[in-house]
Formats: sequence, C-alpha cells, structure tokens
Amino acid sequence: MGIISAPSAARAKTQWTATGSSSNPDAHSAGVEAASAALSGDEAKLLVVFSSETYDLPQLLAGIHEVAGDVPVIGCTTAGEIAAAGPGSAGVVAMAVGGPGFDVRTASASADAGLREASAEVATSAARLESSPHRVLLVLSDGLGGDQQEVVRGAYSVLGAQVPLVGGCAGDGLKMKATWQFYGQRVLKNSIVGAAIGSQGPIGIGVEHGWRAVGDPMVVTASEGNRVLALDDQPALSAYLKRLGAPLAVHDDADAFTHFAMTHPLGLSRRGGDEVRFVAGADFADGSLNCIAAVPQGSMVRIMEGDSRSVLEATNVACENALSGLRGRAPLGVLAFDCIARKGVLGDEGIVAEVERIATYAAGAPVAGFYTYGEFARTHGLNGFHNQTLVVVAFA
Amino acid sequence: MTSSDWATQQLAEFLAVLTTAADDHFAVANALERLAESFDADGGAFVTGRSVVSSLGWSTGHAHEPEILAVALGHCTNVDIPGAGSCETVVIPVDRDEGSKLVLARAGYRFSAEEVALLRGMGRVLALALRLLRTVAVERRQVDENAKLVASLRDRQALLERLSSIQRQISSRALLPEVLHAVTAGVAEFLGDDVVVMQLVDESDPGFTLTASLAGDAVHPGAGLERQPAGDGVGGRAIVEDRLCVAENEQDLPRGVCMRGTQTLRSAMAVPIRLEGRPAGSLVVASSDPERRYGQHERDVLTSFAEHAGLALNDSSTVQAMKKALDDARHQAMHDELTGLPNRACFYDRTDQALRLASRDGTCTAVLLFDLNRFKDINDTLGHKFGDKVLREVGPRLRRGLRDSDTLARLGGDEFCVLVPRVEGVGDALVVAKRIIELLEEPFDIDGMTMPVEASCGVAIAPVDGDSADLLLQRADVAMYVAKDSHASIVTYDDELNINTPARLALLSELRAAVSGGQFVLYYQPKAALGGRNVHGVEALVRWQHPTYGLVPPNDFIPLAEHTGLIKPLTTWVLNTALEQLSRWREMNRSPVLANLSVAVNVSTRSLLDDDFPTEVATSLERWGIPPHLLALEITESTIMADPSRAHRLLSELSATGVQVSIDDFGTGYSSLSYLKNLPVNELKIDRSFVYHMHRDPNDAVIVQSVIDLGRNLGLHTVAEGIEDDETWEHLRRLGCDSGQGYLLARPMPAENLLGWLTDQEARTA
Repeated sequence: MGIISAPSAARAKTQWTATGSSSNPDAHSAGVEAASAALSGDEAKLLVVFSSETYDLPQLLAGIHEVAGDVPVIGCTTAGEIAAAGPGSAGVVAMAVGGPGFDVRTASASADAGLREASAEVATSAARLESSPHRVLLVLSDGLGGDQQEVVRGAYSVLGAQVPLVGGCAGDGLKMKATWQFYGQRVLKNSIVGAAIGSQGPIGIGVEHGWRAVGDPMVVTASEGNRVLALDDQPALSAYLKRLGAPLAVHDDADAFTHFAMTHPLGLSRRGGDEVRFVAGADFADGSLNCIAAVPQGSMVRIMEGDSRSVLEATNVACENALSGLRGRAPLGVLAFDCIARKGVLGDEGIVAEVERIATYAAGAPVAGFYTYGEFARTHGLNGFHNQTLVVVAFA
Repeated sequence: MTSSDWATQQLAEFLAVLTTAADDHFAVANALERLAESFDADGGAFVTGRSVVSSLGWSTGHAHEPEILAVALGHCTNVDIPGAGSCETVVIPVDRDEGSKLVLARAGYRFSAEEVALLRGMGRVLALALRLLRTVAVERRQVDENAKLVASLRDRQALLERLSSIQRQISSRALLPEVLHAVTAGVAEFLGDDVVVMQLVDESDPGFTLTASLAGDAVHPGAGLERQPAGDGVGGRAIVEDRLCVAENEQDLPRGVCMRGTQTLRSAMAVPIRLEGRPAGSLVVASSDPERRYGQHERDVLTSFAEHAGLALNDSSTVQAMKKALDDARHQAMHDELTGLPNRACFYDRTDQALRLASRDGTCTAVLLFDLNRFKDINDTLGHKFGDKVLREVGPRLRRGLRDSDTLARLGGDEFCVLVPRVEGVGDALVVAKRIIELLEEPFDIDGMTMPVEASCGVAIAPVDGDSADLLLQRADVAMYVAKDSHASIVTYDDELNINTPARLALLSELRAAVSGGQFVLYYQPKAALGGRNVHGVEALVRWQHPTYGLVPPNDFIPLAEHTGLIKPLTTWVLNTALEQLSRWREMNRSPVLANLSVAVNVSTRSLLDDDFPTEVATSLERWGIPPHLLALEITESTIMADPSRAHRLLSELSATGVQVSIDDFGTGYSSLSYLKNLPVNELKIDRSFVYHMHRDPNDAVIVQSVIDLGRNLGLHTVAEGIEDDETWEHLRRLGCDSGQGYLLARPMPAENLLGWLTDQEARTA
C-alpha cells in the first residue's frame, strides 16, 4: 500500500468535498485507492484527478473508474501533486465534490482546431448551470500547446464576465515532452477538459505570484507567438543569458536551461501590473526562447525574480483572498494550482512549508492541487492566464 | 514600465493583431479582446449605426444590445455587465462614414484622458484596417475568379498554386520587393517571354516610372533600376490608358533593359497594375521573337499576375498607413494638441526615465516649472484664440534656451515644464531658468502686437527635493507659486516653502520692497589677530530696518531671499555698500589700520553660482578703487556643495583677481575636506558653536584644534568666531589660531561707530 495521506473530507448540510491520494506504484491500485478515499460521501458530482505522468495512465483511469462508476471524472498529469498532507511526486491526488448543493457539468474538446474554439466548446457546458447562485469553470489544458490566453478568450466569448475561470496547464514532471488530460476513462492530448461547477455556497478565488521585475526593460524586437526570437535586436537566448550572467552549463544543455529559466521568468507589462511569462525552454540552434504564452513583438519585458520569502508571502495573499470570497464561511474544500516555477524557487523544503500554509488556511478542509505549467484565474477583466502564480480556489 | 512604454507596447500588439486578421468580423472581435486585455476592461462592443456587430463580456444569449446602444448613442455612461457589475464606459468613434463606434466598459475605475487618447488612435487604426480588409476581400475574390478562368485553359493547377503562393507571401507580410519579384518570375515561367518588366510610378515624381522588378532568361542579371518618363512605351501606355496594350511599333518596345548577347526585343504586351483602383504601374512582357502573338490565354495570365502585384502593393501601402496612424496615435497620446509639445504624461515618463539614469550615474536632475504671468488677462482681454497663439509661440521660444537632451512639455493652461537631466547641481538649473526667463522677455510679435511674456519659475532638483516625477513636479509647483506670490522670477524649492503661511508670503513681498526701497543697513564687526589684538578687518553684516517691526534678524529673511532670488540684488547692494564704506575709510587716511583694513562680505549660493558674479565683483572693486586683496568673500560649505564644480570654477575666477576666499561656519557643513585641497581658499572661519562650547566640551575643543591644524597644514588663515571671554581668546591663541571675532572684541556696529571704536581699541592695545 502506498497511501501517503489519510482521506480527508468536509461536509456541510447540502455539500461536501473529500480528497484521496496514493503513491502505490501500481497504476490501477493507485487509481482505486485515491478514488475510494475521495468518493466517501453520497451523491458525488465530480472527481478531479491530478496524477504523475509516470503512471500507466489508462490503467490508472481504469482503477478510478472501477470506484467512480457514473461520477464524472476530469484530470490531468502534473509536475507534482498537492494534498493537505504535503506535496508529493509520482503519485495521484483526487478531490470529489458532492451533495445536492453542487451541480456539475463536464466537457472535453480537442485543441487541434484551436485552443480558443476548444475552450469555447467546454465553456458552453457551464452556461447550462444558470440556476446555481455561484459558479466557476474549472479547466485543465495542455500547457505545451499554443497561446494559453486563447483559453481565457474562448471561455470569455461564451460566458462573459459572469462565470469566473480557474484551472491549470497539465505538466509532465518538467520533461517538457507531452502532457495528458483525463476525461472519464479517456487519456487525451492537446485537449481541454473542464467542469462547470455550480454551488449553493460561495466560491472564493485568490491569485498571487510574488515576483518582481528587476533591471531595465528589454524590447521584444522579434517574436512569433510563444517564441521570442530577439530581445533588443540580439538573439533572444543570448540576450537573456547575458543579462542574467547565466552559468555556462545553461548555454547548451536543455535540462539545465529549463531549471535555470524556471526561476527567471519574463515580466510583460500590463495595466494591472506585470504579467509573468514562464520561459519553458530554448532553441539552441536558432537562439530563441520558448514561453508558455504569447510574447508579442514590440512589447517590453523585464526579467523577474523572486525568493522563497516573496513567493511564500504570495501564498498567504492568495489563500487570504480566496477565503475572503467565502463571505465569512469556513472553507469546505480547497483546490490549488501552483506554478512549477514557484516550486523551483521554494525548493523541496519550501514547498512543504507552502502546502502546510495552504492546509492551515484550509483549516482542516480537504486540499488538492498540482504543480502546473501555467495557471488560469479570471475573476475580472479578460486577463486570466498566469505564469509563476498560485491560484487558490475555496468552496464553502 | 512607464506609460509611454505601455502605450507603445499596446499599439504594437494591436497592429499585430489587426494585420493578421483574415476578415473584418475576425478583426473586430480580436480588436475588442485585445483592447479589453490592454485596458483591463471587462467588456465592450463594436457598434455600427444602431446595430451591435460584436460584443464582449456578456454571456452568449444575454440580451444586452439595448444597453450597449444606449451607451454608444450617448444616452448613458454606465453599463451593467453581469459578473463584473456597473462599468464605466468610453465610446470611441471608428469610422464616421459608416457610423461605427467602439465601446469599452470597465468596472472599478474610470478611463483616464491618456487612455482615451490612445484608444482614439487605436480606433483610427481599426477603421483603416477594416476598410483594407474589405477592399482586399473584394479584390481577392475577383482575382481568384479570374485566375480560375485562366486556369481552365491550361496549366490549371500549377498556375493556381503559383498565384496562391504569392497570396500567402502577401498575407505573411513578406518584403514587398520579394513579392513583386515572385510576380515577375511567375510571369516569366508561365509565359516564357524573354523579358518581364514591372514598372511603378515614382511616388515622389509621378512623371516617371521606376523599374521595380525584372525577370526573364534574356535579362542581364546586373540590369539595374531604370527611370523613364511615365508615358513611354507599351508599359507607359498601359498606365496612361489603364488597359492592356500590345506593342504596335518599335517605339512601343521596352527600352533600357540590359539584355544578354545581341538579342533585340521585337514584341511586347503590358497590363496596368492598380493601387486603390488607379493605375500605379504596369507589368510588361517582351520577346525577341517577332512572331510572338499574345492571345487570350497570355492576356489573362499577365492580368492575373498584375492583379497580384496590385494586391501586394495595396496591402503594403495599407500596412504603412496603419503604421503611420499608429505613430500619430502614439504621438497624440503623449503630446499636447495645441503646441505639439510633450504633454504631462510624456513629461512624467521622461522624468522617471531620467531619474532612473541619474540614480545610476549619480547626477542631479532638474525640473523647472514655468507659469506665464498675467496670462489670464491676455485671454480675458484679447480672447482665447490670441491666448492660444501666445502659447504656440512660447514653445519654440523656450526650446531655444534648451539642449536637445532637455524635455520641454506643456502641462496644461499656461504651465510649461522643462526637464533638465544630468545637471551638477542647482547652479546649472538656475542658469537654464534664467536663460529662459530672458528669452521670454524678448518681445513676441503676435498679430501685429508686440509684447514680452513674463513668467515665474519654480525649480526642484532630484535627488535633493524628491526622487519621483510626481514629487519633483509638486515641489517645483510650490516653488513656482512662491515665485508668483513674491514677484520673484525664479524660486528654488526648499522644504520651508512648503509651510508657507500668509504671514510669510506677506514678509516675502515686503522683503522685495525692502530691497528696492533701501530698508537695509550694514553693520560691521571687527576681526583682530589673537596675539596683540590688532584689528585687520571687518565683516559686513546686513540688517533689515523694517518700518514697523524694527530690526529684523538675518535668519528671518536671508533664507527667504535666497530661495526667491532676492538675495542677488541684496548681495549686490551689500557688496557695493561695503566697498563704498571701505573706500571712505581709506580716504580718511587716518591710520595704518584703516589703510590695510579688509572687508568681508557673505556670498549666497545663488550669487556664487551666477556666472556674472566675478564680473560684478571686479566692477565694484574698480568703481570704489579697492585693491582686490582687501575684499574677502565668505562662503559656507553648503554653498559650495550645492554645485561643487561650478563653485570651483567661479571661485577660481574670483581668486585669480586677488579677492580673498573665506569658508564661513567651517565644521558645520559636510565636513568633506577633500574639496578644500583643490579650492582656492585663503581662510577658514571656525563656527561659533564650537568656539562657544570649547571650554566645557572636550569634543568641541578637539574640533577647533583640528580645524586650526588643518588650516595650518594647508597654509590657510584661521579665524575663530563668537569669542565671548578672555579665557577662550587665550585658549585659541595657544592652539595657534590666527584671528578672532566676537562680542569680547566688539559687537557688530554701524559704520559711523567704527572709527571711534578703533581709536579706543588702539589705545587699549598700545
């Protein structure tokens, strides 16, 4: 048996959430264990699953299905899972929501024809929950494909300002090769899976990154979508590494670069403050940088930095803001979408401290989440795709 | 990031979105999204006439059109977006001809004037983009249909592929010459003629055409650009007649094409290339085969390629027009409409930028705020139009007094502001301010009226007075108002100015009257050698004989005079009066003491940093016939530190004439001794505060001792101020101090008392 935390559940009169997790090396068993623990209550409406990509994913989902039956399942692979007991890797975490106070619709769509169209399709399911007083659209996407702000635009084109959007981009343990999304028993690639969650109780959302821009801005003199080709008329990669005085190993080693770049994102200026852009990788042949979302040509970017203190302080702010959205009620369950880059800054000990903080704010309520390649949180306006950010969603 | 950076970025991104839009519906929807993202808005709409073409922020199926139209038509200013709440809106005209407007809605905070200006620019860019997209869509359809007709005859697939590859090149914004070359190369390939020439009307000289691209096996690779009269040859005829033409005689054949070998052209055909519906060039094929015939197929192929060249030109000229509109928008967002000068937003931006640079190289940055005096009267009596003319004239005049690196902005009304980066200190700033005030005083000729313009100027310096554009402007503003209230032309900011009370302002205006009204008197305090007590000089001290308050102590008015610039006429008066008095004493020729008596005058920062000061001193010395070494200028450390390099330069000039330089209140300033070595200083005056306490406080005694030692090491005369008892006098003498001054010797006294006192003193020391 590899259960890493005891199941946790919180119940109100008409709504409940519960989590389960497992690090059983056998995929099928891990699925059964995590789902059994999470699906302990009556009238389950949704099971959200975050799993390491190292599992045999069809087997994992088969195990989950054995327990979940008709309960809709969505999920994705991660760069690390989060549960109240602490952050774990190579495991699976699941959170179930249930009770008559929750109303859930799930949907999935392939992004082959465009992220925006896929997102709009998924968002359409949320439009059918008009009767719930509180709603949120939870989406999980493939962070390695396309400009993720398109996900926000697509959802906004259908739902407008009425329904907030939360979620994250699936990960693959920083391999940056392929991420997977789960829908029922199906393992999907380059897709968006989503759940529109309607709730009788309030839903609070907190978003914070804890990074700050340093140094003079650089102009993006050439870019194509997510690829930055030139900064200040210099090849982007060398301009970036030179500005940072990066160690030599980073100049030609993809893994070393990804680890280095994780803690040195680019900040793109927006009216509401700097928007962080995670530098996911570099093309050593043509000297370009690959980011998780579009970095428009002509924009000004600054390199951002953070330390464990500022990043942990952001954890507090995100949790407090999420809880303040509950209008005084105690949280019933907490979902966290935490950027992998924050994990890079915090280190192994730091992320334990971070998850402890989240658990403390949750005050005993179940916590589940994952380390992402990009986070969604749209609460006002249209800018809802984030990098290097912690998004906390609290249900009450 | 500064706001102009932000504006530039938003415009660049906006242009990128519009130039990649496939059709106008897509362009409108995308434009709305990008605007909402850029301006942190919750929603918006594109409205044409009374119909909502596209909207954002409302869920699908929500009936919100009436609310949007109410805003677009100006019936209300707020709109409710479910989920976002009540939103402030801004309505931007897009295309007046078709009555289209953009509405943007934001919950929480209003759109600023700067944002609205930027949005208006973006609206114009959107209008251009939409018109272009529609034109191109129509043209593209025609082109496609024509191509299909041609292709039905022969080479259908290959020709279509070639044409669509050109279209792709156009869409992907390939460089125009590359696209045009693809056109001529395509013609050469499909028609097989020896020569293909594309000539375009020279925009700068429409009487001529330029060869834009050449292709064909017979064309010499080095054939360059050829300029020809526009109507020449079959190509010229195609342009003039705006139709396909076939060469009818030898004159019609293309000339000037450099051919391989000895071939000569015998046949030719040309079609016009149209830009925005008008012929802008022609595409010509020519062959050395006299039997070459141009049938319907050849005609259609050439026409198709010419249409693609037209598409490329249209696209390229629109992108250029859009870029220009963007540049205009960017300019308008950052510039004042009336004068064309940078506006407040731009000024803030540049100031913040300058401050960042300054903090890196450790230089100072000056902000000078000018307000025209009695401008309201000009507006009221001569009308706003006249007032506007004055404002437009003032800009270039101010500019004349500035370096290229200085920024001149109009903040609104009659307020102009100058950013002077990289100054050494307040002295540089005062020089610029003075130059500008003088430039404005040169009469303006407006509508036949000759009038000078007077201005009041407030000066603030970073980092001393503030480290942000906001704070500096605020402080320059305070200084400027003091300048206005006190009728001084230039006032430098001082924290004390910020606590201006009406009483203080009243005092300022009285001080001004006092300077011109002769309410000042000089008192003289003797200095004597510590050994022997022989008097060798006097210090001239100014007193204000106020008609109602009596004698006002210097501390109550000198700082005010310093900041309002009144110190300059006051210093001039003191200098002249003291030298005049000295010359009177010397004329009496009563004793060797009087013959060698020197006079010391206190010099303020403003005076010392004034380039004219050395000349003024020299003139005054000459006027009263005083040998320069009998005049000592007393300067405080802080005066020097206000602008060390300028102080150094002016002091060197003064010292070179023989005038003595004395550092007053030594020890109270920066205690940075390094400058002492390099400055042309003759004397150190030890501040009274150390002298007064040196008996009781060993620390003070140590300071006094070290100043004396320092003076001795540097070969400087040392004077102790504020000696009140014999014990101190004796102590200082033992320490090696040269001279003393203070109540023990004598209090400051009016000139007429000095002679009597001197006689008594001589009797005492004899």
